[in-house]
Amino acid sequence: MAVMHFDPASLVEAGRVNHAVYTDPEIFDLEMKRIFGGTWVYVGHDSQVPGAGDYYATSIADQPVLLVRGKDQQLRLFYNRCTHKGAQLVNEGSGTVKAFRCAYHGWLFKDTGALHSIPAPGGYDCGTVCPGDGSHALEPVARFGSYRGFLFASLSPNVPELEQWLGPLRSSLDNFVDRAPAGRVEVAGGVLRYEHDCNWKFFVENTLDALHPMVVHQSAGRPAQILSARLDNQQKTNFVLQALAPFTGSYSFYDAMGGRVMPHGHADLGGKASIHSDYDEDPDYLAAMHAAYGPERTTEILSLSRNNSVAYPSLMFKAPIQLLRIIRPVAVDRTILETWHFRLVGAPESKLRRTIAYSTLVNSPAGMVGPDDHEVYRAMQRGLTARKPEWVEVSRYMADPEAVAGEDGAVPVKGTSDAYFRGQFSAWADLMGRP
Amino acid sequence: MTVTAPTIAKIADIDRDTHFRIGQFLFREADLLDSGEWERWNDLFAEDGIYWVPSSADQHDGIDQVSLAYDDALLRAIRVARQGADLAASLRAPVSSSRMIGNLMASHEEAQGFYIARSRFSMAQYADWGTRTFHGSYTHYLRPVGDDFRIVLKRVDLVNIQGSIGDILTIL
Repeated sequence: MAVMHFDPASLVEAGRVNHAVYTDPEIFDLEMKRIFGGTWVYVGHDSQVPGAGDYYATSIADQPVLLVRGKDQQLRLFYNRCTHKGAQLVNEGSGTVKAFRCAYHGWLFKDTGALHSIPAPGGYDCGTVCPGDGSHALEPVARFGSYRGFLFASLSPNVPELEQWLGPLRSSLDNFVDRAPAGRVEVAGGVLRYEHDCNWKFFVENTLDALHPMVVHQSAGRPAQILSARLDNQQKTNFVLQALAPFTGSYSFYDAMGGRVMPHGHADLGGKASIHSDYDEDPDYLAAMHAAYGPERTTEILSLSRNNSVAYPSLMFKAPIQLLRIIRPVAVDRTILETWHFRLVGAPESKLRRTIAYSTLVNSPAGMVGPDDHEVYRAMQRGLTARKPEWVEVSRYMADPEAVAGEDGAVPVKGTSDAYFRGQFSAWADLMGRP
Repeated sequence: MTVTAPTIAKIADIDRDTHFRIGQFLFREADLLDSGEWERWNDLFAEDGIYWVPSSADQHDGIDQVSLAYDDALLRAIRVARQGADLAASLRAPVSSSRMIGNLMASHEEAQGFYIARSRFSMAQYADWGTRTFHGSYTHYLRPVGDDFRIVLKRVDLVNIQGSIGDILTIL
């Protein structure tokens, strides 16, 4: 590798971050190796490959990977690359196979990754390639694990155990799954893939940024408010209006919802309240939850409302509305944002429909919220190319006396705190500083 | 709602005058959109009308599967207000569009009381960050009202919908 012209640790100071972290292609290349290649990254959900031979091909940053469920029901994750000449074995997306056959020279791999057979094997009498002896199997990714069906992988072997790495953030994933009467969620309702002209870090920051909705999302919130005022009470229960109303919420509303900052850059915004906590609830859903958990536990599960949670660097999820977004960095100024939706197994279909209505409204490239965020990211990407001033401000609530880590290691913070970003950049500097 | 395309057998049943009027209606709609006449565009819809951009080619509904847009009257009202107001960051610099419509086929669905029109479109969208093109098909369900029509459904299938999609800042 070329000698770096900077020391990553020097780009992050107390309460400020150097602009180059968002604009320098060399830093981006190093992030792909040391951040996306150096820690646990969300890959997908086990319901995406429910049956034997089901696969899902995606990437961890610039590395193509292939998730497969074998006939032994075991989930495995490989680099999506033929061990012969290196062709990508399957295109991105899902499918079902008996075996993987390389489109170039026809090498055939089992769902366990083992090389099954090759055409004209006699040419390898020298013994270098011998199907069945275990050589030339698909290369497994170093670490691969599941937390309640959410699948994570690390390209580097030097990472803590998955549960330990998730730490207190586990309770947010638990809340995602516990909201299902059957205690299980599954991917449903299609995917949105939204192309952005900006650095990947804007997403993990903005999803926890409670100072922007009332400025950036007025354009959807205001018309919704005006229309709502003209409607009768019956029509006001329309979910779209309920979904858009909090986008114009006040600073004190967002401050009061609070959040948590956790080790490894993880965080969530919202707790006792969130932008999702004032939705009407389907009585059939409440009945199903009561039947499954009893009223007390149901209240406990549903009263926890964490707006947005981040498993740093690339997973953002909304437990109260059953969707997650994945950051797929492409270049220093190009990122694809994927939105995946989940069915709460055992819940009435109205729950999935609400998730879908929310996502169509908010996460779509033709939606009424996402494009305005994107425009701000574009302005950031352009503005941060300015060589002066060099620093970006992240010092809000830096001296908050209440921001003290609890026993579980999570620090309670105010909703509009910059502590989220300081936590992310502390993880960033730590990972980037490793050889 | 499952969207059906006009069948060849049924296309023959449409008289030239109706075919012409359907074509004129689609051109008028396209012109309103490319002229930024959002409210007048919205007036072309039936009260129960839907503007729909699915997220996949084989999508059957906008309720159980996510869409790029799935607007009933209320959502269209918000969308139109947002397009027209000066609040949206993404619309602050002027966004303009120009589209061509062709390959029109139409049939009459007597049982449902509407016409189905299938056309192809190409559209350029200009924003200050660049020009982007969109291509695909329109499927219109058109209810006859006097000698005019009202849109019961407008479905927009983008040809590249299986890939990642950038900002759609106008109405397709």
